[in-house]
Amino acid sequence: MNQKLKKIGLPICAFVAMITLWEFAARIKWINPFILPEPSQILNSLIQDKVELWSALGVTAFSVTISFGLSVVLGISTAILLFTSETVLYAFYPYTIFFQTVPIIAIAPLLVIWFGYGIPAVVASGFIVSVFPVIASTLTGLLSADPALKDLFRLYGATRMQALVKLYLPGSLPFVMNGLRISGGLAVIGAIVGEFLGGVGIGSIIDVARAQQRIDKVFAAVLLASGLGLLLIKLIDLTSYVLLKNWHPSEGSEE
Amino acid sequence: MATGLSVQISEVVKRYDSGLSPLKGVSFQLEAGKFLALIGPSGCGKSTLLKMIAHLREPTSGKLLIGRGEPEERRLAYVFQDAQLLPWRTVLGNVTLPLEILGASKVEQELKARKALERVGLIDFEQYYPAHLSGGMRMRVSLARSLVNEPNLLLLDEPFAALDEVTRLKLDRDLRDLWQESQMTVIFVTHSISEAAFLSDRIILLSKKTGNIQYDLINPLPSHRTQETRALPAFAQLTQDLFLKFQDLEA
Amino acid sequence: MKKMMICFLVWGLQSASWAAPVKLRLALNWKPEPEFGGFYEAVHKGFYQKKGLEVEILPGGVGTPVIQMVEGQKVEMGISNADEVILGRSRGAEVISIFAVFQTSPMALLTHEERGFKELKDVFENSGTVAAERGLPYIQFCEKKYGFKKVKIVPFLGGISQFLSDKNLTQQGFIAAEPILARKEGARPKTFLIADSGYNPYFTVVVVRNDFAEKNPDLIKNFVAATQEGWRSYLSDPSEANARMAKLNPTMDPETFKLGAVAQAPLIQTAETKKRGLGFQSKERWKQLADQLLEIKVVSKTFPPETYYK
Repeated sequence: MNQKLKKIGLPICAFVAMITLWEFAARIKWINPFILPEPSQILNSLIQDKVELWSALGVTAFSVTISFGLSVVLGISTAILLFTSETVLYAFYPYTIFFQTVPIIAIAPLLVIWFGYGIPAVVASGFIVSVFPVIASTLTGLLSADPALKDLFRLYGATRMQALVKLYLPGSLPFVMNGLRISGGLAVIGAIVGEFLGGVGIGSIIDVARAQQRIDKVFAAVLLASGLGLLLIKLIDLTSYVLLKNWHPSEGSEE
Repeated sequence: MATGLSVQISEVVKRYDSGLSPLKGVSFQLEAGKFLALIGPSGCGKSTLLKMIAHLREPTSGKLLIGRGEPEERRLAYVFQDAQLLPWRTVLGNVTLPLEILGASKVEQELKARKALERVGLIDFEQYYPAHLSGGMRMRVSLARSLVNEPNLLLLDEPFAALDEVTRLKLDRDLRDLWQESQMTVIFVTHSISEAAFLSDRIILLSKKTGNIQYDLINPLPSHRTQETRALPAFAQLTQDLFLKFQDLEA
Repeated sequence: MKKMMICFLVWGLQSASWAAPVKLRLALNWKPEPEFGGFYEAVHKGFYQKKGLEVEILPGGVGTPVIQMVEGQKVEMGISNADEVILGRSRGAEVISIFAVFQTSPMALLTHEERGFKELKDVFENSGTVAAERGLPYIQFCEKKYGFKKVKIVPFLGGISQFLSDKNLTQQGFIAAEPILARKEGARPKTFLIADSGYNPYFTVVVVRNDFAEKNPDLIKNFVAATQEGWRSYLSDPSEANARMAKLNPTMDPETFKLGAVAQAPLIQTAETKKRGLGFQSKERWKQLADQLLEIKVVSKTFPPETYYK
């Protein structure tokens, strides 16, 4: 109980202390509010621009959901495809690393030219940066099945499909969930970068506010974007807990 | 109850790419329904031999004949060093797995799985997940899984090596009883002399040095075994005898 | 003995340059291009050096926050535009403009000649797409003036690839860069200056912190004089500075540098600058711009026009 109180109470205390110090430092001009706005100014923007910010957040959340969903579905399918044939694996796996290393800010303009303004380009950008962790972690999970269990399935004459469904896929679940945690955060970043040029959502607000030197609004928008990322990662954690609580020590032994 | 399968091994050689050759022409015959203990120092190739009998590995040369050599008559089961359960399945789900793969109906799967769980004394735990069971209980689930398809050849690869002494003695006895209730052939790989002596009716000692059978004997102990069997002078004599042979190998 | 000679030598060198030069960092808001030609010229021809200044030019890029950098004293000087100065002031940045390169804003819209537009108004009053950097006041000004009934405004992606691939696309650009590049790629661009709309901020202005300008009036005077000399020299022969800038910015080819310098010259050198000197800024122009920004609600308050420049 005491431990729990500490776990929740301390971060809140630290947060309040930091915000107070920050506000204080800005008020007595230790830090220049034009460069780093004080918390009250950010809060003010959150209230003043709430209609604009929240509707933009809705658009961003929609794009993030679609791009993350695509990453999950296509990432896992790609990993399965790579896994089922060694030839395919050796031929194509090196190229999936493209998604890992692509400088999204550089190709974002191309995405707009290929997919058009608005949500399609944003979804493409979010997808490109978030798909690789799903592919890589799923593949690692599939490849790390216990050799003894593989023997067990062979012994009973399991078909490839049976082994995939009953052994490899469920066995890779903890790996997949780890990949999704990384991928979720990246999907938010990718979508916002896409929005800089796609012209919608939180990213667009950040872009415009920056040009108008509305640093407070930039921070307010960034705050909402990180809130969105946090929410997504918490949802993934929850899903992971529900799926793995019975069998995986990383989840089962948590509390 | 199905009749066990006989096993014929002739001139089996296993050589690895590294040049290491643990088995250099091993031959023996095992009659149907027997309980064979395969012992030897680590690295003597006993586990490899077991995997070849299960058709999980290929010999470099030589022949293995299981039963009449027809795939249809073969109903194998294999118990690994660890329980090797699927952690995402319940106890019941783990035990039904072989039948699922073989394509049995749902009703048949659960009926047979519950029967197997009853035989290993875990019928009350069918909804548990492996993570919540003790090591001994997990091994019992593994045994239940191996029994569920009513095998005619049961292969065990040092299954109880990681368990504590008391659990191990209990499982030894249960395994012996399970075998006696059935007519299956059992090959049990172990490096424990007393376990081999207690369980088997035939013992083959493999030598690492020669890569061949060093010693092959019929177990003289009475076929009904209990905890008291371990106190018999014949048991002491047998283990002493095996110990000396084992020592010769190491020297 | 040796030591003494070295001492002597050092002392001699120091006294020759009269005093150690004052180091100034000048942050650009974009990569080296003809619109910064006079500054590079003044550095390399030693005009700043002559006035006891050692100016280091720091190239910028997309979204370089120049006003914030100056305000935060990361650099002493920066290149911005008049509307951004007024915007920054309204947000609390204590900066002023000390030199205005462009008397007429070089910001332009590129359309395809095939569309037959005659003036700026046609771009906004017909259907089509306009790619404009978002958040810039000029687009808000045009919206208020022309009303965007048929036209669709989309974010500007940089470069001209979008323009080349879409005949119905109008995009923003600098008179000294994009139209030249587009022509080289085989397009037939027709260019309209944003200034035609009546929204004409001084462009490429040098900003410093107000307190810095007040404390160093001589330094500012010297900087402005050297900068004027740099621009005069660049306007008469841009080839040397262009070659230097082309090395720093390989994305622009020498030909475009050359044509760009020619295209921008009339916007820098006007009848007024001939009378009053390059970089001239007037109270009327600053007041007009501040009023315009107030009217389109980009700022909610303005200051007396004379406080925006020096």
